[in-house]
Amino acid sequence: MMKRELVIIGAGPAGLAAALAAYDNGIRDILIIEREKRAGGILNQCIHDGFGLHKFKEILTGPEYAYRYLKKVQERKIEIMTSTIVTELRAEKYLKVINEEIGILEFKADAVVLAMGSRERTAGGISLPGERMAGVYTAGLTQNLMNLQNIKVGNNIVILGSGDIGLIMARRLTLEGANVKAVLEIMPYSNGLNRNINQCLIDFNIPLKLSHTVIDVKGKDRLESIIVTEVDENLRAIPGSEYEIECDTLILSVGLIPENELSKQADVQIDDITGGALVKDNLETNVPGIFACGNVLHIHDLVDYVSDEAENAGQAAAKYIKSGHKWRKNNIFVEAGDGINYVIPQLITLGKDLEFSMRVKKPASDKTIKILNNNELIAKNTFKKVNPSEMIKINLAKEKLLSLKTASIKVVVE
Amino acid sequence: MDTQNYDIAIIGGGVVGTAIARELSKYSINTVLLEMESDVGQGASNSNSGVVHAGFTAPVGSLKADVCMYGNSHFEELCADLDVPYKKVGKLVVAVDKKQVAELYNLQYIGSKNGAELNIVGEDFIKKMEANIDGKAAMYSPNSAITSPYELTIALAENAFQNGVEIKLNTKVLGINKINGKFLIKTNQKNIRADYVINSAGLYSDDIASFSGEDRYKIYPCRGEYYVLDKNSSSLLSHLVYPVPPENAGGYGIHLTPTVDGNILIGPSNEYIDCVDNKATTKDVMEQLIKEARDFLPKISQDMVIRSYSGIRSKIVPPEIGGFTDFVIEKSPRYDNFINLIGIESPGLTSAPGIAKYVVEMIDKMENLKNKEIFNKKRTGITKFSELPLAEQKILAEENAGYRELVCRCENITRQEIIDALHNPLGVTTLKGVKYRARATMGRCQGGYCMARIVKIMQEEFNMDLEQIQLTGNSSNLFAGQAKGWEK
Amino acid sequence: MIKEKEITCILCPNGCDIKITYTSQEIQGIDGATCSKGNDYAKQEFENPVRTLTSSILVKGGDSDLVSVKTDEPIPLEKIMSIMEILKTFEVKAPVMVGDVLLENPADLNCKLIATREIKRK
Repeated sequence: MMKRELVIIGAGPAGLAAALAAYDNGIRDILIIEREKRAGGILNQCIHDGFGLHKFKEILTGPEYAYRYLKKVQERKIEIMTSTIVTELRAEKYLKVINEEIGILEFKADAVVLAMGSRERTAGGISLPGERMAGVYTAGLTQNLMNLQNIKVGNNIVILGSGDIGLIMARRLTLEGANVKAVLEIMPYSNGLNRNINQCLIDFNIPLKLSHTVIDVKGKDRLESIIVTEVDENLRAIPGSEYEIECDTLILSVGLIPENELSKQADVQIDDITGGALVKDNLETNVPGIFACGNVLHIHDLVDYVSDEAENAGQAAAKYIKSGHKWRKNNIFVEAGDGINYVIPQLITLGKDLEFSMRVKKPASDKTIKILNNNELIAKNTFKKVNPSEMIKINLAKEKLLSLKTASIKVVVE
Repeated sequence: MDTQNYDIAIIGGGVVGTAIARELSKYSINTVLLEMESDVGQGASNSNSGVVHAGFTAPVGSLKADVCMYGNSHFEELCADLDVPYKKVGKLVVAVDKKQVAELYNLQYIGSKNGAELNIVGEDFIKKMEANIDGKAAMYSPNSAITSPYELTIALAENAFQNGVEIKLNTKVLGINKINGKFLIKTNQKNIRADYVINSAGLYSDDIASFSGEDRYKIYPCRGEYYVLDKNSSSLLSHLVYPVPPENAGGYGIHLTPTVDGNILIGPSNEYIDCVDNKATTKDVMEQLIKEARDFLPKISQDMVIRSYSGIRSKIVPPEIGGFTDFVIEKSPRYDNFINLIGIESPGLTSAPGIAKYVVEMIDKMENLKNKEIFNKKRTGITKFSELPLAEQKILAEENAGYRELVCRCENITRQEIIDALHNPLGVTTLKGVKYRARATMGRCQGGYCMARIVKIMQEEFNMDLEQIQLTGNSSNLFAGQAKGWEK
Repeated sequence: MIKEKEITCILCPNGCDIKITYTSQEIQGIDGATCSKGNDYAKQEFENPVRTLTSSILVKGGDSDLVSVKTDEPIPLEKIMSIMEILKTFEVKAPVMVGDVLLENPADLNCKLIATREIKRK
């Protein structure tokens, strides 16, 4: 069993940024564990641009964004163990890993940063009706196959779900000669960024059909067609609105799920809304010395925000390693109130400048997001538009939280 | 026309067909098994609850009761011989109100006559065994067990193959004629000549029977849909939990089944359908499954679901009557050496070993079968790395690089297991072939992570072109081709 | 005759719905943007929409079969498919460094195709 000060699980954008921050805060004994052959995580297959505007003030592609961080990690000689999967994580920060060269290794860390990212919601996960033939893929898998393995999954394509990966793949497949017939979205609004709707669909005349979903997939060996229906405001199929679209491929872009199987092994408490850990304002989980950041904590829309968050986690882990665990007093719960789906962090204390990440439940214009304590206004921020697909960040200076009437604050949108 | 000669041709490679093949492989007789799909076990054998039944639903004195009881008492040994998972988890048939308690006693009566060990138990006992299940009373069957139905079917086929049975996949029977005292079986591949035909074609057994001039049989396909729950919900359930069977439904009611791999199955529903191969799942039934499951086990939630699938029962009871009837295993009236197996539905998995014995005895009476000098009853499956103790894992990983690469992170499956699955004795090289042998793509990500890797292994290790990579054979191609440079 | 075109601004999360009124390709007015950048964006989108093209091309002898690429400058939207045609069979040899120019002036456009990923020799 090898002892390490800090072990970071995942060398994607979160893991790399956390490592840099920990290093720059004085930690030298850092190990990043990465299951792929190269670091960079999901960015390696996101060859489109649109990354880095916030962090670098320029527009980069995914691999370029990853490369910038990777270079900094390499300059600092931080160890990345690639082709290595963590198969076990325990609350005492014990890790069992398997490495393609060496075999099974065991580590004991002082602190662990969870940066495993997310997985895609599948056909099974959304109870897609119909038979189980070839030709139904998730968008991320399609992207991996096309951009990393040079494989085109099909020619006549329908995409279910207007999440960003689905939109990006609509364009990508079109560029590679496929016929993308439509993007279907069960909600009355898109789950993708405006930019992607414009540049991935409108640019290529691909119709976006809101309030539409798939009720049957047909074909014995390979997909031959799908049956589509319109849905009402309760998302129930509207009888008589069904029609058939011939296609050989159905691509699902129906959401990401934080990949917390290891976290659960380590008794990390999971928030049932985010699917990620329930964290304090230093991104520490309920398990002392285990921190979480990036998509494993909650699904982000911009990688730049992942980097920001991971820097906070890396910094907090460094502090933990140097000065040990401290019991916190004045713990305050942050409640997602009316119109807010979730808020990160869920637990805060007094005397700290805070930054909240949150998502609203539905799109709206001219809204105010308020932070309340016992129904008294502590802070507010107004927005011309709010959208579930876009994460909202709100800062709260410590002066605003000098004294609270109850041990919880609530975030609402009005 | 190129024709191959055999003593016996088995039509249908489900669990029954492969069990018969294995049973016959004990004797000096030349057997071929014909399967129209790209792998064995592609019908009801891979889409059922995987339950080894104790025998309390089959009428006393029926053939079904006989073969089921035989199967129940021999299953553990069979699974041990074939390296197939088997767990005697026990079953609770739960009465939710007092009225249903009487029905429990009726089941106990039938079961006890059949020789099953059954106890009626009360609320406290239920709670002690299944903390999350509510019920007034239950019938507890300690000898009910679970297995992996697809692994068993594959294992039976592989063991039969090792002992000399030929297994012809992708071979669909198009017609059968008796010419010069032998059956000439026309197929979409080479034609087959055989002295005996054993029709274990499941949903298609009525069609095959009609080739022998027997038009009496009609199969009524009856679909059952299932939900599969994530392994991380496995702690919710440790026994089989069944409702009191609904009257004349043709199924046992939607039940909860722990699988040998740690998932929970919800299902199956019970719906007569028109088309024998419509294995669709439907929105309405899926909603019903979750609802009925939650009646038993309220902790079940929709987000635990990782997959849905359906299997089709080959029933001979028409929908207007419903319920069950006995298995039909008999010689065709026109030809003694044409044996029809009709209506082998639940408990077909449990009964397969007994049915195999029964069918082989029928042939033995006509043919006087001779034991082979060497019959190897043991078959070894793929080494399941994740199930080994740490010390053994370390040794294997040190010796073999294939065990150092995890291809599937949900089920912890190594590259070596994928390679072993692709090198299977039956020569199945489809993605589903890998799935049913190594469990890859069966976990919560449903192949989102491992599929790209498995495809790479197929390309690199087996030199397969993209065009050859299929889900299930026929025209189930997974890909359209290369993205770049594919004109060359 | 005055016509209208709606453009949703993509520059910030506000996503202003901008309306352009025009007569036979002459802009008469731009309405709805809450900042001047939005006006410029709408004008550009109306007159000559440009995009950075990202794709991948074949690499021989590398640790991956593909290298991801982008155009160094945004190119006219309507020219994108003509570059894609060239990229279908265009090949480079490993190694490739991030930022390497792999192709100049594809389809006679004033841009370069540069690598966005490092590919090492196999």
